[in-house]
Amino acid sequence: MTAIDQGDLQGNILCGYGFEHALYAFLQVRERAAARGWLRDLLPALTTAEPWGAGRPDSTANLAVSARGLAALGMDREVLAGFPADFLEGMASRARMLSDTGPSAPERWETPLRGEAHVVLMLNARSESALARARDEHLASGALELVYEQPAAALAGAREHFGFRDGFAQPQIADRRAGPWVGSGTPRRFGWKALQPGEFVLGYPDEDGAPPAAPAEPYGRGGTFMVLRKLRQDVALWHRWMREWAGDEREERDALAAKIVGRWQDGRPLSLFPERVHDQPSADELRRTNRFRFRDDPEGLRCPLGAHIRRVNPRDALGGDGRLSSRHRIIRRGMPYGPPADGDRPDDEDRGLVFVSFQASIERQFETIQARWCADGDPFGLGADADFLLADGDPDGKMTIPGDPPRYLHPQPSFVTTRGGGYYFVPGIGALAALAGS
Amino acid sequence: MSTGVAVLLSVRPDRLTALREALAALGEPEHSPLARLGQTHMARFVVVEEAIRDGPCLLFSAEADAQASSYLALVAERLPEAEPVWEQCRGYPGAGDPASVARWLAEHAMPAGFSVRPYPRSTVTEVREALDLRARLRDFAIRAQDLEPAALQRAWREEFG
Repeated sequence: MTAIDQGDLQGNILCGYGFEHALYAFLQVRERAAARGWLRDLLPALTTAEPWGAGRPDSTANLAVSARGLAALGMDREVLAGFPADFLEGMASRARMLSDTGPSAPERWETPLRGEAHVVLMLNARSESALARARDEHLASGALELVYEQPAAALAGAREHFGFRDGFAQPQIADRRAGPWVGSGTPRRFGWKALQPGEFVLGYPDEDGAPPAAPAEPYGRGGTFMVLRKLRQDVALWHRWMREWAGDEREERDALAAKIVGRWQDGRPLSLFPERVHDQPSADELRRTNRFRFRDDPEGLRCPLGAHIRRVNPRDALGGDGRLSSRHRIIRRGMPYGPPADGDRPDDEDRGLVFVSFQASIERQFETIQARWCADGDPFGLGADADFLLADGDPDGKMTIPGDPPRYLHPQPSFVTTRGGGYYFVPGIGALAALAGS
Repeated sequence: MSTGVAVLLSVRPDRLTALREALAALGEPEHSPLARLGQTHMARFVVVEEAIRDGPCLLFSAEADAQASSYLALVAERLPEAEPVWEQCRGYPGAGDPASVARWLAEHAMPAGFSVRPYPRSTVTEVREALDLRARLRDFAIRAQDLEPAALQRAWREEFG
């Protein structure tokens, strides 16, 4: 087994930091020499994937660069042309395929998030004050123009704004030095198979047995691609809608919400827990309960065929054990933004999720999940049904909850709206040094 | 049973840009004029810049509910939007004589070696009818899901009886 060079790989990819505060700073290169100087100074402060041991830092710093950013920093045109088309084109230009249309269309995105910034500096910290210190330390010089800042903070109980425990289901990766894992690999007839690291880190063997397509050295090793999306959640609408469809009984509303998501709010999957369990699961229990399959529920009587988690990771639902989904996994490191909502009381606060995923191929991994599995129902025999949790409002949209009789949810409300985003490259430390000209 | 159609045309010298513009002018895929030809399962134009020929080529391929020659005759006759595309290719006999255009297309047709068909036993019309029926069933199911049995039966008969 090839061990990943953790000193060259940036942190928070193979193993999450677990910090509760984050800041995404979107930066533009105005003067190349100054930007490269800033990058050289930043290099020793960047957090790698090396284990912390006992010395957990107060904050971390990581960097991602867009295609325009690589050009602005002076990357050779031919080298840049060796990057994949999805990354070079950027998220907004692929919006139609991603179903970012209507209220989620790029022309309605927040202006600074409409096209990729040159650079995204990602700071994570154990407290707000530590985050502020890190921000001052890395952004005070003004070498790059700060065009947008997106703070994010974990909500109580590691929940997202609709109340679901989030972020604990991650792909298990075959690397002895990475981890520890809270997640699952590919289901087999018996047992589970960890995913090859090349699914997430360039330069290492992937599920096909060879390293994935990658740009020229030194950029082709120790890097990964990052998808960042700002997803606004309409929490008041979510609760109002649940009340309208399931009534005032909390238990009934929770059961309906669980059918849409495929998990109970506490994270327990419907596949293993068709009935609600009232005590909170421990982290260890969640890890164990993440190892479930869909093949024993082919009609979706427990977990609906169109439920969110059955779309984003179909496991063995597509047949062939999990082989048809194993090339389409992503590592998620998103974090909620905005203040928690006060129940279903409407307010004007902007809140949602900063969705962040890491993958070796944006097209094969993130885009397949988003465009083929979430925005369409065909792969699951569901016609044009889209993910009821994520899709934009659609008067023709519906979700079927199988049963006797089945229940049809209709029309599709707009619970989640895309507010902007981009495709970025997260270079290895050696590649960043080359980019900085050091 | 549908048939695979493939036509390879040589692009006239210096007409590559005009060809791309003509293809772009065909519009969005959802409103493709090719969809108007009721027999088209799928169709695509591909500009092949590095063909083993003297210059770039245009590949037109389709899967259609007709023999290749009949389908190309239909394309020649009922697809005026494609005239600016054909014009950029060598040997185009010109608009106004669909029979010549059909012959010209057929002369440049190649046998499709292997075709994968999404609906091997259904025509485009049958596929559309099936989709329409599914949409009607879906709408009915949504509309009728809270009806009592007697009302449900009445509604069913009204819709499908």
